[in-house]
This record gives sequence, structure tokens and C-alpha cells, in this order.
Amino acid sequence: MRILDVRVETPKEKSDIAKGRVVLQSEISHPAKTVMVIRGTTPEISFFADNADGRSTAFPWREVVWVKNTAIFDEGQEIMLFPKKFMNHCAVVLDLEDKPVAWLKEDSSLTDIEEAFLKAGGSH
Amino acid sequence: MNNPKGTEMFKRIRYCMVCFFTLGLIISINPFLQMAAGSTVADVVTYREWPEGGKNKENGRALTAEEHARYGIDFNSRVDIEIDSAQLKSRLVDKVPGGLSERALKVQARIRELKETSRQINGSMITLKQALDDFSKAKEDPQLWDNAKSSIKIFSDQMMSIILTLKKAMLLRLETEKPDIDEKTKTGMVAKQTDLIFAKGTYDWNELVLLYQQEMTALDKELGKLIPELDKLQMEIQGHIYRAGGSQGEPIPLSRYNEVKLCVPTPLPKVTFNVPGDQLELFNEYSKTVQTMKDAKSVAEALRIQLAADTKRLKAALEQSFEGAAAAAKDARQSVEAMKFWTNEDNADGWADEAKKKVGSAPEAKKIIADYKQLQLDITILYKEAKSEIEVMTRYSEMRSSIAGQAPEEAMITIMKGINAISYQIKQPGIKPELLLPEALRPSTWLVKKADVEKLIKSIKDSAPALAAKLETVKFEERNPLQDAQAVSEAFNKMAEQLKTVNNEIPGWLAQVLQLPPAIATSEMQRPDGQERFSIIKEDLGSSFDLQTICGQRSEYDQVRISYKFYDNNAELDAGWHNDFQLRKYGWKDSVVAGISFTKQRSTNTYKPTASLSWILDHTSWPGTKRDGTIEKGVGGKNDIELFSGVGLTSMALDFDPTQDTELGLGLTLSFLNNKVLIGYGADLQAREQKGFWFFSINLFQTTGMFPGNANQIK
Repeated sequence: MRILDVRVETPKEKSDIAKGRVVLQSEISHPAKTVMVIRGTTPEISFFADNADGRSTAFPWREVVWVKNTAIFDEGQEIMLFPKKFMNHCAVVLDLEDKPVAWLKEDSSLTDIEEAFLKAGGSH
Repeated sequence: MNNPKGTEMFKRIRYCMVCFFTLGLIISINPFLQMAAGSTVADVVTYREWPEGGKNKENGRALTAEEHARYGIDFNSRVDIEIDSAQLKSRLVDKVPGGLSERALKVQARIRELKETSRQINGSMITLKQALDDFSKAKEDPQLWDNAKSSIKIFSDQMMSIILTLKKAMLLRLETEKPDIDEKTKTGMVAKQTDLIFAKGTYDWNELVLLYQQEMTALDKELGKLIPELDKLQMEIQGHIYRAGGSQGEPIPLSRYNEVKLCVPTPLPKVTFNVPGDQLELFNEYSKTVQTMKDAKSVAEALRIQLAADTKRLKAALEQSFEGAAAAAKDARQSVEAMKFWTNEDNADGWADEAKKKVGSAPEAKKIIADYKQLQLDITILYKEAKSEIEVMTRYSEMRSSIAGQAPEEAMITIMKGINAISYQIKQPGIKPELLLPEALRPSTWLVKKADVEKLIKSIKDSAPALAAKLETVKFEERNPLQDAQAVSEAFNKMAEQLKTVNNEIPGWLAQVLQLPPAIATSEMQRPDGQERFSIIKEDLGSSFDLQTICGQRSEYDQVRISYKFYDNNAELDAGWHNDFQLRKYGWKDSVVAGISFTKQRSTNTYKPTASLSWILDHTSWPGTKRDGTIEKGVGGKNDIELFSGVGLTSMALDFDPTQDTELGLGLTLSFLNNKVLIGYGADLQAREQKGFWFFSINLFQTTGMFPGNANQIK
């Protein structure tokens, strides 16, 4: 799992955001990966992120990127990943063509997470 | 921010572990999945042999039943038959008379969907491995990313289907079991169970299979409740022994199922020094044959002389069989050709129209006309079967002209080539080509057909006796189907009579040429005394048979057939099957072989033929477990054809010393290829000088002690 955060109100804030954007973009643009992008920092989200990590580590084509600070998203990127319909969701899974296909809430089960990854990896 | 390099390294290690783990599971879960796949005969019945020796003596040797399968078991063993009632019910669901209710059909469809999807689990392990491999290769060569993506898609779609089908089944079950709880709670309950599959690594495949089994078992139970008719079905198990060389089955005691007389348990010795009757007869025959045989100047000539002696004997029997086949085929051809008329739909419809005029259109009349129409359909099937069997017999009988004037050896080669050609040129759906000729030459084949036709005629006559009598006189183009069927029945009976003149040795010899196991005619199975039938809901339906308690002599290569039959009231359902067991001697055993031996002293250049009798001692390993974990069959197993078959002694009359009236030779013998080839060195016990001599004997054409047959060629 890639965890992206920003040391706010420090001299490194800008560089953290810049580096985070590079990492996020590089994972999303991988030629053959399904990427789950998680946002937020609540304890529930932390638990969810652990589960998501568990469902990705055994599959080299699955990647989890936990964006703890939403400032890392490029302008308009967050709304593109989490449209209005899914504004209450904490995670989105991008398919092999980098298109968002599944959204999850923090109370999702392991089965929900697995299904989301399988949907992204398959022909939907 | 965490370390990406470290994460990548960790993933590589995990990836390798996943590869090994997946590979291991593919191998280890395989048999488990087969069980989950559906109610096959193997799911319903398990046999356990309790042999007197070998590695399986303590815990028994489990034999997985297959429909019509044949196994080798030791001729002193006991065999337990275990029946899984739930699986039996599941297997019989389609056979319920009157069909299933709409609700039962829905449950059955759900079972089918689950079973079909469960079969994909094994495949998903393989596609997962493929995706992992392709991803790894693409990391080395970026041109392969598209290939990797394609593999990931295949795997993901397959796995998604497996998960969604399971979830759907679980939710539907909860709807039936707990109709009062809300959707969210049900979903949570399902997730609680399915999450176990995803708790670690790729998947917990065992858990996945268990959940599938859990749903299938629940549905099986539900289906059982929806089909009360299923509980009315009855089952019987019959056991018969077929002594080597005969096709008449004798009932054997099967615990709980019959009252066939049990004899005092008698373990038969395997080293007996006994000369079997057939070998003694052969020895006497060879003793006469060698008196007219010349000395051979070389090994090749000796082989030719031996071949000539064997083939001469067989040729005479084969020629006689050609005569029998020709007569039988000639008589039957005309009657069977008469049936062709009814294979034409227009003729059958024409007759039905005529019939309506005679009996009207009341429901009873309609039914009996429909029965007659069914008779016409059955006749069409029978016509096609009989036509190819008669054709095969005609072609066989025609071989008598092609071997006219040929020497026995040449004739045998012509016949063997001819038999193979006939068997594969004439095809009949549903029957293996190599079985067609031996079946056609067997009287019982035609008796079974005769019985089938008569059964049809009787059922029609019994259904509405008054109307049937009227219909017997209804003709279309001067023909009546019932009368034609009656004529065919008589023709089949006549054929069976004519084929009884064919030497019994011939079908066995043909089977050997075509590499078939000995055939068993089910029509010749005598019903066991006190045969019981039990409801399939009975808790314990199992049984056992102990070969040691079967009365009468039993020998190696005898066969035991265990038949399963199912009934609705007294009507037998088309749901039965049988399993055959060939009796074998494992461990130390002896055998006596008669043959023509060619003897040669050092000082001579010729090989003298003489009749010989060899006693061979041999150790056959007990069948065990193969390297891949499957149980060795015994028949068709690694010990079935032994390159080296043992050591022993051969005795023969000799004529080396002109000063002696009687000379007896005794030689140490090495046996190869199931006693078909014997080689040895012996001493002339009466000769004054030059006592030593070499000898060999080759018995390829003997039908006694034949190769035991291939387990894959089962009818």
C-alpha cells in the first residue's frame, strides 16, 4: 500500500503534495494495474485501508494508494474520482484502463473489497 | 511516506509464495473438488477392499466406484460397500416418475448452477497462476503488458462469477430459512461467511469449496423435502460371480441384501502345485501334436512350427464359427429387413390412420395407438442395432472364402487383420467398435434383443387387451407392426440357437485379439435367493461381500459383478449401474503352464519339439497408491503384464539317448510376459552322457492364461 500524506504547515508541505501527486499519477498510469484510491483518515478508514491492503498484496496487479490528505489530488481529480453520487464513499477502484468502476464505504466487508478489485480487473 | 522499494521487494516475495501456494493447492484440492462437482457413481458408492496382505492390510484399500468400472481385487479379500444416501438421492432426482414440481425444478436449477460454477474453481486456480506468470513476464518485457491484462481479465471474470454465484445461493437459502430478517442483515450474514475466503493470501480455497458444499448440501435437503416421491424409490444390490471361461453369473452372498448360502470362510492357497484341468487337457493335446512335428533347424523355424500347431487348432474352430455366423446372419437378415418398413414415418402414420378407423378416437384408443407408435420408434432403434450386428457377422462369415487354401499361420494373420478391419468399418452409435463382433457372435446378445421385443409386445397387449386384439388385424400395405415385431423376435431366437454351435473358445479368442476384457451378459444373471429391496431413505444401505464365503471353486480371473437397481413400486428405473471386480492373486503364487517346448543339446543343431508342463512361482506386488495419490486399479495396473513372470521347473519327455526307452527332462525355467515365453536349462535324467539341454516355449496363441485385459476398455 502506498500511503501519501502531507506535512502541513511545514516547509515540506508543497514538496509533499508535489511528490504525492507524482506517486498517485504513476500508480494510476501503470499499464496493467487496478488501483484503489482511499481518502480520509478516520479510524474506520484506517481499518478499511488495512483490509484493502490485505486484498491487494497477494496480487501484483492490485495497488492501494491511501491519500491521507486530499490536497494531494490534482485540481478536479477528486471530483472525477468521487462524483457527486459517491461523495460519501472513501475509496474508488480504477480498472486496467484507469477508469473508476467501483466505490466503497469504510464499513465495506472483505468480500465487498474483493468484488471491487475483481470488477476492476475484469470486463465489468 | 513509506518506502516503495521495500514494498516492491515484499510483493515479489509474496508473489513467489503465492505461486507455490497456488500450485500446491491445484494438486492437493483436486480430488476434493471432484467430490463437490456432482452426484456421480463415485459420490454414491465407495468400496473398501480388506486384503490378506500388502500395505493395505490394516486400513483397507479404498476403491472409488466408476460407472461400469473394473478393478482387480485379491481372490481372498472381503469388500465393504458404503453408500452415501444423500448423494444417492441427488443422483436419482431426475428419475422421479411424473417429473418435478415447479418449485422443485427451480431448486434443481439452482443446484445445477452451483455445481457447474463449482467446477470452475479448479480452472480459476490455473487462470490465477497464468495471470501471475504473465504479469511477472511483462515486468521484464513491457511489450507483454497487453498479454498480462488479458490474463488478469480472464481470471477476474471467472473468480467474480464464482463469488457472485456463491453469494446468490447463500442469500436465497437465507430467504427460505429466515424469511423474517431484513436484506441488510442477510447480506451481513453472508459476508461474515464469505469473508473467511479472503482472510489471507489470495484465497482460502478450502473455505471456498466448503461453502459451495454447504450450499449444495442444503439445496439437496430442500429438494429432498420437495420430492416426497423420491422417498418411495427402492434400491437393491445384486452380486454375481462369473467363473473364468463361462458367462453364467452365479449369485454371491451380499450382507443385508440376499440370503444366498454362505460357506465356511476358506482362504484359498495361492501356491498349490495343482495342475488345472485346462492345462492338463492342453498338455495331452500337445503330446499328440508333437508326434507329427519335425525337428526345427533354427529358433525361427521352431517358432514357426509352434505357431503352426497352435493356429491349426484355432483355424478349425474359427472355420466352424464362420459357418454358424453365416447361417445365423442369413436367417435373420430377411426378418430384420422387414422392420425397415416401419422406420418410415409415413408408413407408421398410414397405419395409425387405419387403426383410428377401427378403434375410434376414445382416450383409451388414442393411448394404444400412441403405444403402437412408440413400438414403431423402438423398432427403428432395434433395426439400426441389429442391422450393423448382422452386417458384422456377414462380413465375418465371408472370411472363410478369403482364407481358403491358406496355411494356418497365413490364415490367422488374414483373420486377425479382417477382424480389426470389420470392427472399425461398421459403426454403431453407443457401442465401442471393437465390441461389435464379439457381441454379435454371442447367443445371449440375441436373446436379450428377443426379450426386449417381447417385452414391448406384451406391454402393448396388456395395456388394453380388447383394443389390442382389434389392432392386430389392422394392416397398412398388408403389414402390421405387431406381427413384424413378432417375426423379428422369432428370428432372434433362431439366431441365438445357431450361434450356440460356435465354439465357446472363439468369442474369448476374439476378445483377446481385440484386447477386450471378458464380456458378461446381463441377461444371464440369476436372481439371488431372498433378494431384498430397501427404501432409499434407509439410514444404512451399505453391504459387503467376502470372497472366502462364496461356495464353490473360485479362480484367478473370475469376475464379480455388483449391480445396483432402482424401482418405483415394481417398475425398474433407468438409473442402475454395475461395478466389476476381477479376482487376482497378489503376493506369492504359482501357476502351471502346458506348452510345446523346443529342446536343444550343445552337440546338436536342431530343436526337438516336445510337450512340456511348467510350474512357475511368482510374486505379484499388491496394488497400492500411485505417486499422484490415486489408487491403483489392479486390473490394467503396473503388474498386469509382467515382463518377468517368475521362476520354476519344467518337465518334459525327451528323446536324446537312443539307448533309453524313456527319458524325462527337468529344467530350471525363467518365465516372461505372463508365462507366454519360457526359457530354461535342464537335465535329461536318464541320459548316460550329455545330460544338459536348453529349451524354450512360446505360447502366444493360447487363450488360457490370457493377458488379463485393459481396464480402460470397459463396456
